[in-house]
Amino acid sequence: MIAFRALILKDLRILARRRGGFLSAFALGAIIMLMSSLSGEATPQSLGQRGAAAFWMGLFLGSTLFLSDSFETEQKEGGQRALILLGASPTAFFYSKALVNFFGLFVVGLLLTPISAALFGVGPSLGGGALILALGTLSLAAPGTLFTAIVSESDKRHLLLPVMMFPLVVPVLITVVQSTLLLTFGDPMGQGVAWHAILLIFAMLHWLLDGALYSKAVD
Amino acid sequence: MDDPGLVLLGERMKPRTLVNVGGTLLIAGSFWGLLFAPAEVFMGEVYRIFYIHVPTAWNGLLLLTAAFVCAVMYLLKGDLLWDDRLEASMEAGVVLSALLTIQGSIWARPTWGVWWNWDPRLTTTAILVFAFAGILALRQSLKEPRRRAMVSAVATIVAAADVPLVYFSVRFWNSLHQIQSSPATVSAAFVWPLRVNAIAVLLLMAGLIQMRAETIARLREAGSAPPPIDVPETEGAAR
Repeated sequence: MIAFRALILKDLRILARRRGGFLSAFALGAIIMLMSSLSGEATPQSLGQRGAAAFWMGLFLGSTLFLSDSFETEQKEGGQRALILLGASPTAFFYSKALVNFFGLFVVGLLLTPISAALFGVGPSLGGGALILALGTLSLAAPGTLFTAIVSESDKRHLLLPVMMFPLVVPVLITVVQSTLLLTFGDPMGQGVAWHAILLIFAMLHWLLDGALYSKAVD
Repeated sequence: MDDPGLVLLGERMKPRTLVNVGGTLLIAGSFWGLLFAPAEVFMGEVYRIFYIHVPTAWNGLLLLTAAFVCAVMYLLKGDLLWDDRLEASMEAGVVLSALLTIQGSIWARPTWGVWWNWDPRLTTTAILVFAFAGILALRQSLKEPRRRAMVSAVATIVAAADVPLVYFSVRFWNSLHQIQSSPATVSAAFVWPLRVNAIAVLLLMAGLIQMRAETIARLREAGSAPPPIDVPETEGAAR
């Protein structure tokens, strides 16, 4: 537990120092939303429906910039050897990195929210929106961390990460966009529960499976 | 070649024999379906694509499942032969799944009136193609055989575990594709050419995968072999 706490502190410190990826993710997300708000009809209904998709597309695409250099610090200057000396298991290393990536993506999402509200006019309620944002970024963080670890040794990692990750996070994209639309425009048929169930199953599957396979991936 | 696991990909038979038998059966089954089987009542002649579309679907999914099995076996056994089979199965599975989406579009245009629909099965197949093609792309960027094999195995298991979720998420979203047919719901006149083609594609793929796996193994061995010793020529030998 002491080693895990040390890992979390190390990853938070790296996150604070690595502002480039954070700002790039935010900037790319904001640009995608801006471009989406300019394409198509400007009626409130059309903008509101496009807004949910644009917000999540912006966050998903921005996440690759944020995630792709997650392991850069550890790979430099014998950082991995120092981590072995710390005595933490690779699984603890994965969960620490995934949790901090989740936190980072959640903050990027929070920063994008007012821009989305300004560009598209409508948005989900604050509480419901925060819940969907938390579930969506939680579902993105685990596979994102695993695939970043897998491609981190490749010189084409910036290209390979979206190619490998995006097909697998399609359920998350569909689910979070539908959930955001239901929260924004109302849910008279009570469909939100089914969408949340898919999101939860996805998150649980990836947090368990990816954590179990991580030690093999970085063997 | 005494490994009992080799039976998985039909390695008890010579690959050339499998390809020849599969190719012959595929020609026979296709002629049967195109020329001798009756037209379908509602769809007319358009339905005949079903004799290649359904075998492609079955075998494409079977090969991607075989790739998943090979990934698990590599993690359990650590034998690079399983990685060779994984790559060969995945390549063939991706090709068949890509063909499946193209055939589906050709059928959908006259039947549904559109080339593409975000139906669960169509979307899941398209995502499978992209996910597994991504793993094949990743393999090209990793040079060390053991590292490549381990990473491929992990990525394959994660991609395969995701498939049911993709299917169900899209199913909730939208659905147009008809439910699965079975011999009980399909006339015998349609079933037999379909079965012949399904077996034909299976044999053809088993032979091609075996050939490809052997080629991959040879390439890997050639790549990991030490460079030839540079022996300086002596004066006598030069003459």
